[in-house]
Amino acid sequence: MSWKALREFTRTISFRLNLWHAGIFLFSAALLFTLIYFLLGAAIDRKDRDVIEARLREYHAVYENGGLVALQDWTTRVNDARKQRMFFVRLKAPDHKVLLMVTPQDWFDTDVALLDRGAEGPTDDWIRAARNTEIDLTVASMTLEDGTILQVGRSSDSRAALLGKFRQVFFAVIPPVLLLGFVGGAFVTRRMTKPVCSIVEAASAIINTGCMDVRVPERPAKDELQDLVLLFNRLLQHNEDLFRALHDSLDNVAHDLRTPLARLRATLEQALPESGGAAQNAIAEALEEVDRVETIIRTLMDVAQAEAGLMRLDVEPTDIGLLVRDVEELYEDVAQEKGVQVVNELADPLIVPVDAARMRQVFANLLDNAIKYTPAGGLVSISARHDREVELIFRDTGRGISGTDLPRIWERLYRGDKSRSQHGLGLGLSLVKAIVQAHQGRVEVTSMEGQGTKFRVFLSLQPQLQRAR
Amino acid sequence: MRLLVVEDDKKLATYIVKGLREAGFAVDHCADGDEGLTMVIGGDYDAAVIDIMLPGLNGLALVQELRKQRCAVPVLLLSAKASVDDRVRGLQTGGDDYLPKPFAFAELLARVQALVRRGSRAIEPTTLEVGDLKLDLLRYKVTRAGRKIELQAREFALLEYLLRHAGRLVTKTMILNHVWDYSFDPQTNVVDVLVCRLRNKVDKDFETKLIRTMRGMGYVLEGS
Repeated sequence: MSWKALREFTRTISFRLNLWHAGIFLFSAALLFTLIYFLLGAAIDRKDRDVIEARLREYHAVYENGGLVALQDWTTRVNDARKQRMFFVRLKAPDHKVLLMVTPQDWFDTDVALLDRGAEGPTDDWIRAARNTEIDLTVASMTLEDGTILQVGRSSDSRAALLGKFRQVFFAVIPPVLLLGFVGGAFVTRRMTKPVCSIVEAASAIINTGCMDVRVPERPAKDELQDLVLLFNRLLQHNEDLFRALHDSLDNVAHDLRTPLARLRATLEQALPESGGAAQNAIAEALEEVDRVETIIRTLMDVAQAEAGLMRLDVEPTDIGLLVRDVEELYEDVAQEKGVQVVNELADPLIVPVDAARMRQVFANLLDNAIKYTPAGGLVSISARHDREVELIFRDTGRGISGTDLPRIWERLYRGDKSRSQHGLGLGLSLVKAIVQAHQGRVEVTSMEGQGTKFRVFLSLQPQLQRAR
Repeated sequence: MRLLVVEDDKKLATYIVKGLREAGFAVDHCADGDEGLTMVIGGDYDAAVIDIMLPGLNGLALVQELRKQRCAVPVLLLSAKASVDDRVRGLQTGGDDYLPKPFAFAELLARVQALVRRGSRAIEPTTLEVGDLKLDLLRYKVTRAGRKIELQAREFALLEYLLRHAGRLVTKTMILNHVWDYSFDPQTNVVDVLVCRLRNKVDKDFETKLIRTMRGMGYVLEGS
């Protein structure tokens, strides 16, 4: 369950936004670090080299002018004058014989050896070697015109140590900054995407409950999301108005038809006992017609309401088997009278979330049809299957429906030519379809002319509440 | 028994009032919601028949107001509106029963009588009798002229219902509601079939026929 919740969470915009944000932040920080790291390294190098290079040029000039003796003299003087930090100076003959070497006081013999180890290659080069973790030795070499090699160098603060310190600081600072950014980002994106979440909530509340008056809470902010919320609410209002108008006009039509019908019935009922003979027959017939018209109005209204999504459904877990048995009982006598055998193959309780009264109406219509179009000696069977959804099958051995009629049987008031002689309103199947669809289910029909018809009703086992999610 | 009918349609009102008077009720009538409210509160009525669409205060508001003023008169609501919604709303606001228009007067009468009876509960009889037909509710036995008649459960329920309304008109809708607890019209007339079967057992072999068909209206069970 928590694994699912986690997956649900990682699916959210706010999480992904935050992840991207953190990724980009980390990438640019790393880039910046690398850049600064190398620039810093180069800057440290440059600072040391500039000083040494100046000194190298100085010694070079002295040697050019006065030769070895002048250089010896100069180094002694200079080193005396600048006690604080002495330079390493060495002059080597082309055959590597050392002509002159001045080592600062803080240099050891090992330092010279360290330098020589790296100085076998080209002489006109820089050598930088780490004596230990704190001190670096830097030496510049120069080959003079007469082939002698002049080397000037000194010790400096370790570059590695400096850079190491920088690295340390960077790695110490980045994780908390990243964490802070992630948490802060989560907070901000959550706040920003809240309107989207409330839109989703409002939409699913309307779909689940059918309550049209749900609105998305509005915030004081004036951004695009707020615009979206406002527009969405206006759309909902518009929908609700249309919905209500449709509902009202249906109600008005019904009212305008039923009121005169009620008066007509009152008049006829009053006249009936006072009349006699042919007149009485006519009035009785008229009364029966009033009943029929009323049924048509009622069914038409039901179909219209169900199709428009206005039908009020009291959906509750209901044993479908029980409903089928109810309906079977309703038609038991009629079927017996007609010599049609009705077999109910439903055995186990089948609990499905439906409006019991409406679903009973569906089954009654289907059974009514099956019995009506099945000749004496025929068989009507009701069976069910279920896996992810429930399938109810009403099968008869009647005369079947012709290929031309088959696709049109669901239309309002459509009657195949052959069925015109039968009683019925031609509305039964429209109502069946409308009610089943209002339950988010579906109906299918297959028929073989002369062999029978099979109606199948598919209903979801999941309550509507969960389906919309 | 005093009744009040609040209905603005003149024709319908006249018919209802006349019918209820013939059935032995003292009936007052008014055509306006506001007037209806003062009349119910002022008068001592045993039940009221109130239309939902009324000039002035509408029927639902009227009932709501009555209940708010702790007036417990049983109310039968009439409505020409389309949907089950109205029925639900009517019963939620405090109506005791609901009848959609158009209706057969017999059904209105039956419902009014049920409402009035609710107030004063009479002792339930254990046997019902019309002419030489006897129905024993305790032993589930039916005899006619001393001869035992075997009935199915549904036939028994129908006969009991007809006997309880002996001498009065019973419509097909009423039978459908009572015997099958079914409120939609099945296309095939299941009521006719059941009445026919009952007749075969109760009336066929006897001189006097007790169950009469009133074409266009329903059935009446009565002795000669």
